Amino acid sequence: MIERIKNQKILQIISHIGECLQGKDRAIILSLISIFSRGHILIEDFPGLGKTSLAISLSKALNLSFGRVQCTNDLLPTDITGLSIFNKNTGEFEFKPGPLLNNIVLVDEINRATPKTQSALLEAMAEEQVTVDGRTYKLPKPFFVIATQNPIEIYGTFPLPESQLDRFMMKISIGYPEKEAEKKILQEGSSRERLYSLTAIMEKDEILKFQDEIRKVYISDKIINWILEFINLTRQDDRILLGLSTRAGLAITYTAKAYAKFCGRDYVIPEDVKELIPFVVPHRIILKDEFVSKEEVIISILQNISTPP
Amino acid sequence: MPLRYITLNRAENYIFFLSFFIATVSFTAIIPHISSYVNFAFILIMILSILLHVKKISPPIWILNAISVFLIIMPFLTLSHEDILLPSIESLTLILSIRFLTKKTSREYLQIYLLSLLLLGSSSLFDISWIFFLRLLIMLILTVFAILLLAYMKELTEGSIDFTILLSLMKLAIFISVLSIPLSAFFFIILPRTPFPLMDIGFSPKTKTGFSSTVNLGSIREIEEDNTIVMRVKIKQLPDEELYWRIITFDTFDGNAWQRKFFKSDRIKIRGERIDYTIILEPLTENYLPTLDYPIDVFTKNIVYEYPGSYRVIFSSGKALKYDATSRIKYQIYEDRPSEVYLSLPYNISDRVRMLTEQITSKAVNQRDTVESILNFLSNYQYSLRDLPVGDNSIEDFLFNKKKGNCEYFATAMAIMLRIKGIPARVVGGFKGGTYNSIGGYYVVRASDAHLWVEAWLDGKWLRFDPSGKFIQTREFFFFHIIDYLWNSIVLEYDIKAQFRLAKSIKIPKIEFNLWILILPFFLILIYSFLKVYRHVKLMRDPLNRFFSIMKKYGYERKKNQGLEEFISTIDKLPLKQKAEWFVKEFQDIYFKDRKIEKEDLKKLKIILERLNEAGKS
Repeated sequence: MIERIKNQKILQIISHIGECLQGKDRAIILSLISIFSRGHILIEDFPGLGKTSLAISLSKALNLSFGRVQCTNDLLPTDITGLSIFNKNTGEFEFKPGPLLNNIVLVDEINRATPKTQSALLEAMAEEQVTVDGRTYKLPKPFFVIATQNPIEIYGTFPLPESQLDRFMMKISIGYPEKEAEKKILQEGSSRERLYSLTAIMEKDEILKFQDEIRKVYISDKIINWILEFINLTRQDDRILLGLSTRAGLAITYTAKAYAKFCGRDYVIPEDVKELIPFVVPHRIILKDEFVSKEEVIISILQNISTPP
Repeated sequence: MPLRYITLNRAENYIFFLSFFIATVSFTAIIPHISSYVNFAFILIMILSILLHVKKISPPIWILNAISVFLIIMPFLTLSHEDILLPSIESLTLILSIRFLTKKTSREYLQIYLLSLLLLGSSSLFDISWIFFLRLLIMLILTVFAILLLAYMKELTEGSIDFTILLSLMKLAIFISVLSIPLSAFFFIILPRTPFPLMDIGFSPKTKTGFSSTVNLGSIREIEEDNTIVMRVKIKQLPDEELYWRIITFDTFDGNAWQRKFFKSDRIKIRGERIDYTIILEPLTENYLPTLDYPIDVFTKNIVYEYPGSYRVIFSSGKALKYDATSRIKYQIYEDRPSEVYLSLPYNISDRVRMLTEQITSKAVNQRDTVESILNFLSNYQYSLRDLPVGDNSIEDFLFNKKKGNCEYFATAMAIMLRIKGIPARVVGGFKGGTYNSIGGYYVVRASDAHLWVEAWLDGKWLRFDPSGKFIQTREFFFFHIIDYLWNSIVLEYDIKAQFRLAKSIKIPKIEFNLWILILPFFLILIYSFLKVYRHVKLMRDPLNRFFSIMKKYGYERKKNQGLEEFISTIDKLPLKQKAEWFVKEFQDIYFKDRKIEKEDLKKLKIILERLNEAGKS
């Protein structure tokens, strides 16, 4: 994946973050694609594999504010959105912003939060605003949520339904580091200190501009038709109970555009789509039986349609 | 689909029954010509072979071989050395059936097919009608199919055959067989042939279609039981009572046989309705030509007229003969003074017959009454082909004992009675009736239509009387007649003369008419080929197709689900890969941006493709 990336700025960011997060190039790229295509990312992985480090390093490298929510089942919506507190001096209610009002928000173990809190969070993600005590506060731009969930230890959790998972542009897993990379981590010790001292590569304005540019990347009808055919097939497939939504289609095109931009092109090619589909699509579908993996089903569908040209 | 796969065991059964069927096809062709013992033995052995096949038992091969060798030698041991052909064919039939008893490998099957073909070929010595052609076609298709299947099974490694393969083998067999027909038709037309059979194997046809100048009483019966076609007559449809085909006239009766001794041509005058027609006569053993009663003229070479109303060829070629003739129907033959020979009686004619005659005609006052009373008397007798009168004086046996017989006895009895009464009478041999084919416009006359009738001289005229109650055969299914007629007139009558005719007719230019018909398909072909070429050129001009074809040349084929970059990432040769990447980049830049390909782009892509091709070579 990294070898296809031609955009210098992006390469710089990747190598910069990569210094602190050895062997996590793919996760970094995918996160960046999510950020730049204005989406959010769900990382499903075991604890201690660098989810937090990824979030912190991204915020540092992009010079964005960082907030963190550690979800528990007694977490209230106001704990993340913020709340109004009566100020004795002014005699008014004063809004105390919660961790959600940052550029990059790490929502750790989202499945441990109650559905009420979860929906508040997801609403904020979708609307890019929070409403507290009847007043609406715009979230800062860019706004990017990195939610994590632990695939094991599901006892006492509230797993996100697919309809809510659909709101995440991608669902990825970081995976264990390579042996060499892990060795280096052990040798050098935790790099949390260095993370906080990372210098910024991009400024906020630049990021917003880059996001706009990505939206303008050209996508040919040939590719759109091909994506539509793919979406249609997921809806008709015997193995799939719930196929892809239109939002999923949008996510596919947005991420492909971002990837195309990363690769130094101003048009989308089929490979942009194909490479991202395993991260963008599987969490949005429901299979009829759980004996096959969602990814395999998706890939088998993809192999059965002819790619343009 | 339950028939998707066929196990080998079942396929072997298929081949067995296929071979069985092939043998049956040729056997049915030979059934009527060989003795019933052989037919019975063949059927018995075939049934036995099915049993053995089902039980998977095979008798020891040496016994079967010994039997086969014996059967081969047998025809030479028969007493009659004259007719060696029939015993040979019979042995062939039996050898074929015995082949079915052995353990069958592909070698045995091939033997079976060869023997079947030989048998069918030998059946053509007896009878070559269009049915033969049909049998040959069926056998050809089935044999080719069986051989293909055998060959396929020999090469087979899996334990079963796909049913679709079976179907495609069948299609191939039909294709090969049907393709071979126009080819053989072509050879049939161009290969030289002589007017005489190439091989005279001394086998005379069983049918005795001709009348010789002597007819023994009872000999016509043999002919009447034979259903072979004797001739076809192209003529307008006539009333049944006019359907008398005259061949020969007999004048002298010696008590047992009618003979023709009197040839004197007298002055006769014929009045009647004139009618022209064409006769196609099957090969005859005798030289007399049938004509519609009463003939005036026959137009063909080398013929002799014999009084009264008979035509004879000087030599018979042993081939079918076609001739035009003219006759008069509803005729009256005037003759002033008929010869005394028409009143002569055999020396052994008994008084019983004379007395009977007198008794019958006692009430008659004139000659016409006499004739009527004789006809009336004979109408009480029964027409039959079985249990015919016998003995030295069979006519007495007919008149007094049996009181039934076929046309010979009726005609003879009447002629004798007339002569006893002093009325000149003669017996005419020929055919009566025929089946009219209204589509083809011709009569089919069979040997079974053979007939004898009487002509008597009354009041200066010869009149026809038919004392026997023989019925005219009913109409037959005309469709087969047409095929039969076409087969005969196209295939069997095709000889060197027809070859010349065809060759001549080809030369006759009919171009003005044909040109317009030819021009349309020609243009269509032209347009079609133009489109093909155009598409091909266009395809080659399309850089992407050119790219794929180059890559294919160097062993890289793109899968349908692969994107271009995905495809070239599989290339392991670096120079080729670089060039391919270059091309893909340039191409995608146009294609996925939905840009129109400009001339310059094409040029550029063409150059890259050339480089790519070179990189592949090195």
